[in-house]
Amino acid sequence: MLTRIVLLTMVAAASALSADWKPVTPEMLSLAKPKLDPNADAEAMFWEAWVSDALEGGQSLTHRVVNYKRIKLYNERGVKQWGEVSIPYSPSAGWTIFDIQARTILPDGSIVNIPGSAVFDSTAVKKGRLDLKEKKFTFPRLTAGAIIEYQYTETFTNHLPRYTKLEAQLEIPAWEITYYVKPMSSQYVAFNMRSFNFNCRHSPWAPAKASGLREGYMFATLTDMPAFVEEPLMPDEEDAKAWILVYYSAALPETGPAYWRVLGQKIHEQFRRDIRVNGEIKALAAELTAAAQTVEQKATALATFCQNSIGNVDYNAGTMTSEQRERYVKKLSKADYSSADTLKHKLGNSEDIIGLFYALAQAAGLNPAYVRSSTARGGVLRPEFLDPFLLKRSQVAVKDGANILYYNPGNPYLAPGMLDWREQGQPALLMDKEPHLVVLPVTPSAASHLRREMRLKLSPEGAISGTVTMHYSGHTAVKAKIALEDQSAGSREETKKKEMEARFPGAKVTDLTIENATSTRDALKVQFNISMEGYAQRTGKRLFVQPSLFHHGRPALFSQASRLHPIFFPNAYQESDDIVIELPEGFALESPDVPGSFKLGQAGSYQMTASITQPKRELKVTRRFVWGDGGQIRFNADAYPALKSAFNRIHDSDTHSFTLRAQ
Amino acid sequence: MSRAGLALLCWALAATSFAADVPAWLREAAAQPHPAYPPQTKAVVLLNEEKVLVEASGKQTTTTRVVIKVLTLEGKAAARAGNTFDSKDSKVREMKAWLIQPTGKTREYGKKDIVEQSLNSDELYSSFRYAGAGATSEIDPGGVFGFESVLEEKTVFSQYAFSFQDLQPHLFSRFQVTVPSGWKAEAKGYANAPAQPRVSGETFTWEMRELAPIEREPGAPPIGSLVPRIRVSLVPPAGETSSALATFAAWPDLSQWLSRLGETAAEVTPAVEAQAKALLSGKTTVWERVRAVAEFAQGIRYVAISTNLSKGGGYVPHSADQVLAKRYGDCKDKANLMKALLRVAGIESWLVTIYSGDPYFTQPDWPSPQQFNHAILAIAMPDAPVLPATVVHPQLGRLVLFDPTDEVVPLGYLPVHEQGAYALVLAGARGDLLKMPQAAPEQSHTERRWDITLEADGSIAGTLEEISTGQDAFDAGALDRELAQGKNQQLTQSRLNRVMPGVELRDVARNYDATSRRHRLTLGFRAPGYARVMKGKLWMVKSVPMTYDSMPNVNQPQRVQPLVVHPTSFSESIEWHLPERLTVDELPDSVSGETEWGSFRTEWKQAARQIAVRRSLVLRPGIVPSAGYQPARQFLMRFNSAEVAPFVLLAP
Repeated sequence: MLTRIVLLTMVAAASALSADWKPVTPEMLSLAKPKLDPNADAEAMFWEAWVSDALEGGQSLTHRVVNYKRIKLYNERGVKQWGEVSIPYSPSAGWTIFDIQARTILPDGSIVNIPGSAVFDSTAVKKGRLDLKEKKFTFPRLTAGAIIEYQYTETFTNHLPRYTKLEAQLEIPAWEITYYVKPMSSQYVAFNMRSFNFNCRHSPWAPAKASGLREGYMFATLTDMPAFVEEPLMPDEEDAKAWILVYYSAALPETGPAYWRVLGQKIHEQFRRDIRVNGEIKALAAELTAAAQTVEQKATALATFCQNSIGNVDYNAGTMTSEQRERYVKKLSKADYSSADTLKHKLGNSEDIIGLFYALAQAAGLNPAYVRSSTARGGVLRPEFLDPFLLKRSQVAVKDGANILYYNPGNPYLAPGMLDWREQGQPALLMDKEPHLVVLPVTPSAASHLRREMRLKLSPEGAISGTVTMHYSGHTAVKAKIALEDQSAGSREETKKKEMEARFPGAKVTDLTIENATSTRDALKVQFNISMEGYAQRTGKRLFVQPSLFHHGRPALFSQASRLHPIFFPNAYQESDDIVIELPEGFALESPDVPGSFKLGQAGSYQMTASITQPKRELKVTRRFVWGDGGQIRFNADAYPALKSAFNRIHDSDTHSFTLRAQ
Repeated sequence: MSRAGLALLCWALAATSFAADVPAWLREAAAQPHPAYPPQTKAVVLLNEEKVLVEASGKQTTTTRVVIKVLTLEGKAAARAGNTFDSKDSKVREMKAWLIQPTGKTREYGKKDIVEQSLNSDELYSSFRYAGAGATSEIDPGGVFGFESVLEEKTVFSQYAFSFQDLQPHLFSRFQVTVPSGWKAEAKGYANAPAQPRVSGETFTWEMRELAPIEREPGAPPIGSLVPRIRVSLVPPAGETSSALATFAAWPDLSQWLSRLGETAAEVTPAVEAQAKALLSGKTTVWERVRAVAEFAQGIRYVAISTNLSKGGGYVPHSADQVLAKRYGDCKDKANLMKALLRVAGIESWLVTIYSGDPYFTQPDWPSPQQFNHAILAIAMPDAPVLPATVVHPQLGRLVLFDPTDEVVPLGYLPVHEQGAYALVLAGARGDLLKMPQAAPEQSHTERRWDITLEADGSIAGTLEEISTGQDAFDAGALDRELAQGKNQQLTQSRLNRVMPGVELRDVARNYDATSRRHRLTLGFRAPGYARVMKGKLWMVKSVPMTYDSMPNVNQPQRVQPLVVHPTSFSESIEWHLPERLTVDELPDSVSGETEWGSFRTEWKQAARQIAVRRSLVLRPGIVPSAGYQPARQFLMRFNSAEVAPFVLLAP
């Protein structure tokens, strides 16, 4: 009975909160062209949500969002894109949807309501008690020029989110996006609700003029928001798209550096709870560092052990047996899985392994410091945003005189001293005696090297055949190894073979071998034989051959004339190609020319050299490309023309051909 | 969800392992030795069995057993099985699965482990669902997954499609049907599948053993058309029919049955009549009247709501009145609305059921509603002009076939993926299977015209005009409709940038003209550094700026599967204007080729300071068997080679 009463109360409250339809003006009806973007197929006239947290029915903690959206459709594409609405929910997770109201407003002002019977309720997926359902409906009589609008309420029961992300940019332009927010009453929570804007500016939060159940809300509005458009090599959506974070936070007696100092102390205290420097760890640390002389050597020895000798369930999960998996799950059920446990069971996730490294470093007298950083895949830390929300990744810092060395043994493929690509260049909270913000170093380009050796023979008809060897190190190796780690040996080679055949259409790839795919440290090596008919272009008396095999038929990196977002390269890198082509009998080079060398500002350089060796008549070409030096891996959009021009020049050089003339 | 989070979730779900009693049939199947397979073979299906018990009432009980041995890490994904069913009229009576790890450890999966999900998520609603179980996250290579389900259905359908394998190798595959007393079962076998069953009383069994893995090759027919498979029909006792189970001895039987299912849906209501009159107003000829109705039906938004599938609901349109009121419907709804509207105009038409997506899918020797997935319309137009979508039916006369679901292909044409397919005209007893007309390749043509000036610094500037007709024009028009203006511009920019890095475009215009049914793209361009200039003296100029992309994929040196060739007709002319000081040193040799299924020609001509390149390609639709692949490949590669051939200029 109690449940029913609570439910009835909730439904009644929600219904009362739902707004009536707002007026539609003649101007809205007659509008034929987009207001914000002439190319838009549809625009949100308004997009609003009433977000509240409350203790409903005296016992049910409820996060409630009452949505109201109105969209003008300008053409058939808009009709197609917005004609159907699907709203997911999950009763088993306490996520419910109700009070759906929707209607079509035709250009002549007539209105077609969608009855409740036309809202389909279906189970998308169900397993045991878990389910994911959806409410689906479609707008009748839709035509270009029509307006659609709909309202619905979603509730999350027994769930008080500390952080709520509010989207401030949609896939279509929006005239107005408004959020009304009502936090949990201070009677129940000690925290205050705050907000932070990411990549946008909204009106100042102000009290909403409303009564009844709409009383007590604060609201903020964004106007004339352009559609969010994705671009290649853009930063993560969190750093490119407009959004607002509303969050609960304790009172902040400190600001600026003082805030980060206090926060660092708290985080460090929590982290330390799982650090156990027992006798076993002390003995191991001593053993591992016995032969090391310097701080760096000692830290490297410890990191290497953590990477090589502790099973990391975050990385090689697919290759573990069911027994190993069960063992780890059992261990996880122990609340205080400590660094000593990680060592004892030789198993942990990335965080566990970082903890073990910290404990070993401490036992070795290296005086480590825990570090938390933001990530390139989740929003760069803004020092003025006084909250730990963006501090999502962990590292350990070790002081070596005046230098600080950073380690992340939580990634088994990183060379010691290298940080994950998501971490490098990120602001971070270094938790030494006086916690403070630092910026993590970017691994120099030389550490991430792709070295390719090609020994090829060119036939008089233009076919090439030979051997290709590729060596990957640093970030290029990490990416390649992660792509291969969940595959069996036979499949790895088959996958790579297919990748190469796709890269060189029409080529026959044979005898492909991969070395060190599962090695945490050694450079990945891929070798194969290749033969390809018609590689060089043949005319009556000439052959034109492009020595840079890996750039044959590849487009330039950037194609679009303009750019909205910054350009982000995940890491600095280098490429070295050493190509030897045995030339066919009866042909000689004609007007040989090489693109030469050029600098790419402070960020890199490009160099191509060529020579002919006798008596085998081999054309030797070397190509060296360096990119991202000086930590330059992120560029503002206004640098796009220069970047595009530089990469077009690189493309021009990469596709350089030599002419062979029949003698 | 983070990588770690995902891993943990999977593990947590898998963590409740316990020993289980594995049934004897599973242990027996798991113990079977199997041949050695290539290292990339992910899993082997040790047993694939479907047994159907059919009762005279129409109740059918299907028992499915599947045993899969995982061979590699990637093969873990294969450790799953399940059934699809209509949730309205079917019930999963039992569903269980077991896991035998290589260590011998076992686990049973019960009700709480069954995953149920909706199919056809692009439909607004569908009662068609999937239920199954899997051990994908916990099985180790070398482990065996077993599955058994019992599904009860109340359905009018008495025909079965069974494939003896998929891409994985199958050690033993069996389909068995037990029929009501006096009935029998007959099968058609395809791709070396046996048509003759083993009969024991009222039980008919078809089996295959040791089927090798299949690796997909690009450009091959869909996998469903390659694997050994049977199509089974139940046959009632001689001279009898069943009210519970529909049987079809010939296509007209099926036509009658399906025609009856949807016969009331095209009723002309006052609203339908009013709409028709509004559309027909001022239209004097039959063609104009039909076209007006066709364009209206094309404008109806595609929305699918599928119910009552076990009783043939997939063939029953919503009423024309309802579809008109809501202005949305699926393929059969749109065709049916059109039929009702044409009825007002006194024009007779019939729904036509067809398989969309693979013109080779429907087999003419198996009259069955299970061979179709789409509906179009056949319109009686005795005086219609001869157009690509016109056929003459022996009883219904001249018909114009039209697909109102396709938003662009106009009256008089059929989408290319329906051309040449067998389709059933639902005209009651007069209805029959009809081969859809196949347009000649030249009826769908793309022509490119370039005018390019090569400048003294190696850059180029000029214009491109690309005119397409037929399906090529419809595809281009559809793309224009689908992509917003900005995205379309980006697409054109990317396309040109691939071959001319740094290209700048101007005056880009795309237009599909519905009257002439032609699509025209025009643009101006300027691209730096197009010519390769060596030591300022030797100029190499790629004479064809852009490749022709719509070619069959012949990258593989060898293949074992047939190659599907789609109809193609393409021509290109490029006028090169050369700078004053350069002389032509070398032009590529003209080339041409002619085979039974196509021809091409590429030629270069010089006149004063101009070079003219002309090329053309025609491919007739068909399937090239693997034995004919090498000559086909050579033919197409010669066309491709000519495409990249440069001309050579010399500076003084």
